[in-house]
Amino acid sequence: MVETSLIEAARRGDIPAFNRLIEIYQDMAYSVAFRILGDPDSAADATQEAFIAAYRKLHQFRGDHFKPWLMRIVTNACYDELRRQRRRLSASLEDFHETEPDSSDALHSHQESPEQHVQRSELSAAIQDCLNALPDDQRVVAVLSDIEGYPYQEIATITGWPVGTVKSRLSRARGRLRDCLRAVRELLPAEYRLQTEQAHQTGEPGHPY
Amino acid sequence: MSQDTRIEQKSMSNTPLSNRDLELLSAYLDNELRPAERDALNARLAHDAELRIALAELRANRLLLRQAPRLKAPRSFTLDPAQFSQSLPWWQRLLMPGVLQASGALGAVAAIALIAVGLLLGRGEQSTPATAQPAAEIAFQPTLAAVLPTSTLTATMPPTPSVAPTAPPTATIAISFEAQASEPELAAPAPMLAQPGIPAATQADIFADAFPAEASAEGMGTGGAVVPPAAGQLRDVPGAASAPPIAGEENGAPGAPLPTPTYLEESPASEAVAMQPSPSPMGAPLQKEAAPQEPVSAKDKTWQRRLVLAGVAALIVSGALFAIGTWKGRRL
Repeated sequence: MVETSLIEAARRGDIPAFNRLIEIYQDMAYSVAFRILGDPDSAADATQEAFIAAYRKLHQFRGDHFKPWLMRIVTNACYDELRRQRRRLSASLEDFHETEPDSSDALHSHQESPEQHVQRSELSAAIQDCLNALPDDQRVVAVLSDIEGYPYQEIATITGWPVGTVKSRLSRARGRLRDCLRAVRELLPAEYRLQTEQAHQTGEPGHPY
Repeated sequence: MSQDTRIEQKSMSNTPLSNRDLELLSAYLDNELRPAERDALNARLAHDAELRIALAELRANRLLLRQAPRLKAPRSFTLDPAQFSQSLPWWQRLLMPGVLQASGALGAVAAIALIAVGLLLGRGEQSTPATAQPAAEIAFQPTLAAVLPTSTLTATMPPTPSVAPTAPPTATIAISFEAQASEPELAAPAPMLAQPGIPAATQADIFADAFPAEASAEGMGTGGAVVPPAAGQLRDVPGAASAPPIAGEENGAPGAPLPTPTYLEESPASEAVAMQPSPSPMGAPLQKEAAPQEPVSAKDKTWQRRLVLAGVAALIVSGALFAIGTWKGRRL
């Protein structure tokens, strides 16, 4: 309800109202952008571009599903940024690792011990490495499905792909991640290894969730 | 052998899945399979350990990814109002509360001005009848003059219409009417009088002018043909006997110059007729001419009324705009 009134106000040109929407969604938008782009600076640029584009396209927004609509703009901004990165040919895995400590500072670290923070950072870095190894489309769908938890239909809305395409790209992404994370799992902190093992144990048929 | 080691061995022994099986397992994991596909896969999973291990691994990976920490934005991405307030399309800027309020206020001022102009024009209209009356009187005067002094005019009429091929009364009255047209014509009216070829329509008008009642009753009643007045009728008119005979007419000399200035001076009717602005001295035509005067003023009143109504409508719209702008401003 509050979101709807903020959208209405922003549509009429109220910048402070739109800024309140930005404050609500900027962590989510930046997180998705970072997972897709793998670089904090590029993710910040893409996030900013996405919010500017969202404000300019706000009069096109219909309905009350603002979050998927915004996510589509964020995803498109990420694709634009990926194209720019390819043109510049400046993004490298080494650069990413150099900037990774900065990105780990952006993690939510409320009431975390230094050890936990390190573990969490390592996990994030390991996941990001595996995600970075995916093709762009598979990375996008893996981020939206497995990290953000969107259902197939919403991913189809966000990406503009058919649901069948979403399904097949996600399965291929999971296949690749399976190979990558198999190696990573051994390096994971005990806390995370235990969770994944429990997931293995509950892998009997008929209980997909 | 610990449970962890067994799981790792299971995972390590996992053989590559076909794309089709991977897609089925992935959709199964997300509960996106159709019931038939789901039942078929359940049946396979019951007998295929490798498939179960693959499913468990996919589930574990998904859990791991779901636990990936949500990143915090390194800075605020809020927009600068000064920079982006102008980036809106023009029609969106028009709908902004401040613009609505300002346009409402300006519209209200303009509407009040419109109403004031309309009311002032209305007052002007009310005061104009005093000045407009003389004009109407002037317009109507010839009518009276043309009807009342018929005796004077008829005094100049010949006793019988058969005296001359050109109708003498026509000529006489024509002098009067032509005299009012211009001074040079007054100075030399004779050639006009002498012209025998006056169109029948003109003659009819002149006769009708001199004898409005007869023209309407008889002349017009006979299909528009001009019926000259009977001599008796002419003589019955008071003053006809005392009227001096027209020189030349008795001699049957048509077109002889007539002492028109004398007639014009002696005949108040001629003067009255000479005052009229219209070339038609007829009562009826003049009434017709005077009649449009009222629609003109009514038209003005209609316009004035429309002006005021438009002002009121604009005032209402402006008030609504202002109210909407205020309401929007408060809502934000």
